[in-house]
Amino acid sequence: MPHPEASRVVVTGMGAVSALGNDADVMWRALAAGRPGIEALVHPRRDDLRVKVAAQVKGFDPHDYLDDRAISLMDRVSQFAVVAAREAASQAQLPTLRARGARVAVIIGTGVGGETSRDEESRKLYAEGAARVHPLSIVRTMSSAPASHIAIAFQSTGPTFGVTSACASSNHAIAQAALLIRAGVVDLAIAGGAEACLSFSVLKAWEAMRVLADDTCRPFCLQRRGLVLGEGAGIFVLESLAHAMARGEQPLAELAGVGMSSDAGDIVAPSAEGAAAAMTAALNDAGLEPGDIDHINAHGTGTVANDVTETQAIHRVFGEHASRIAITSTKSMHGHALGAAGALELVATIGALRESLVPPTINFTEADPQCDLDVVANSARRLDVRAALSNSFAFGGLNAVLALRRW
Amino acid sequence: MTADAESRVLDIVAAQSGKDRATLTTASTLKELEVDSLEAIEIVFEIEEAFGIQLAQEQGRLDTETLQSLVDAVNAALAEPGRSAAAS
Repeated sequence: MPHPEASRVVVTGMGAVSALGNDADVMWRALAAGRPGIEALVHPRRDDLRVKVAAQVKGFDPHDYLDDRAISLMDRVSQFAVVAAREAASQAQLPTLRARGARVAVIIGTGVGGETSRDEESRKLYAEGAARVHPLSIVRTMSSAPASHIAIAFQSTGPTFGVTSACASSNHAIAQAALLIRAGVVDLAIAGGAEACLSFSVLKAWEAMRVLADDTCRPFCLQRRGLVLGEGAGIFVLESLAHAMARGEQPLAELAGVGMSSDAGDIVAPSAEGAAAAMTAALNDAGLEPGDIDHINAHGTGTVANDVTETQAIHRVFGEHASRIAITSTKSMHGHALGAAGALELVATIGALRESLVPPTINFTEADPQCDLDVVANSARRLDVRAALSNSFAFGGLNAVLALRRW
Repeated sequence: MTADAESRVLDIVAAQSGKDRATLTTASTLKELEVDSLEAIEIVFEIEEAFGIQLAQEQGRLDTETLQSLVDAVNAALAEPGRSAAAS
């Protein structure tokens, strides 16, 4: 059974900055068309890196959106977040809001926060022997900065904070926002995730983990060689159904349920049990049966370990119905944006629900027998999607799954 | 030189895996030594640091990696043209 009317949560606005485009509509069209966002890495230290591909945001000039003073206060991660939040707010017609101030929450996930600024100041400090760092270093790098800047932009004085759980940060943030709305603490929340993680030191750190693909991202394929890093932001306006109805807003989709779990096992190796627990919790919270799910936007990183474990978890939760679910990993297009991953994938999942079109897993060559799922390979599939899950399973064994219902 | 590289690789694997050095053979796989994925990449890192070399991205896959293949990779890296002798 769905939640009672008063505690149902709907999405009324979305915005995105990603390798597939700097607004949610452009991004969705690219997803639907199966366009690649992964390209040759553009980086000042490219020659000193083994990683040669990434899903980078392109053509993003903060001056197109923000004045000089605002730009100087923000790391790239906050710039992405504010730009995506503006788009979401515009779609949800926030200026017409009845909920104001303390009735609005802002909850934004990020894995590494203001990494570009931190890395640059560290370089000056250690490589150049600088005597001091920039006085705005703290406000640029704090992981809660994206949330603060959005709250300032929309004069939201309700609960506002950052959420961090590595690659599940976005989904955990969105889950927190939904729970606050359901609890009646706020009427509306601006929630999602942002990441700008392609600094020299973070790229080096990922290289050292030996999980980066040197060609491209091929989730669920026999030929997969690892993940490809991305960046960007996805920000959503969530509100109680009652609040949306009262102001005449048409929901994009219902955020029907959330499920969270911890593997409490290995710090990196994923567990099918933990992933299955989060999916089951999301279904239960949404009042959905396994047979109601038509589509899953998988975590699908393209690493050897994730894709096999996620397949096992899906079989465990869905039994015979697993083979009837259209599975995709849009990371094959927008890369793995870490703390922003779940938010970018929610843009894809909402698109699938609204347009009855499941975006593809591109770069798909040959199916891995250990990933025996119905993967939507290389081109989008027309499908009547009534309900869907969006999975995020992070390093550290932190799992967060969103259940969406078509509106 | 080869024997020396082999000995140093086995020293590193023993130290990282906590196994008795005397029980290690070059035919063992990392999996047989109950090395997990994180320990495997630490072993590869320690070998790279010890020899001043860079090993392939794929090095350290648990199911296929024998200690002999690690030793071979080290020797191949050390034999690369243009390397200074200092690292060996």
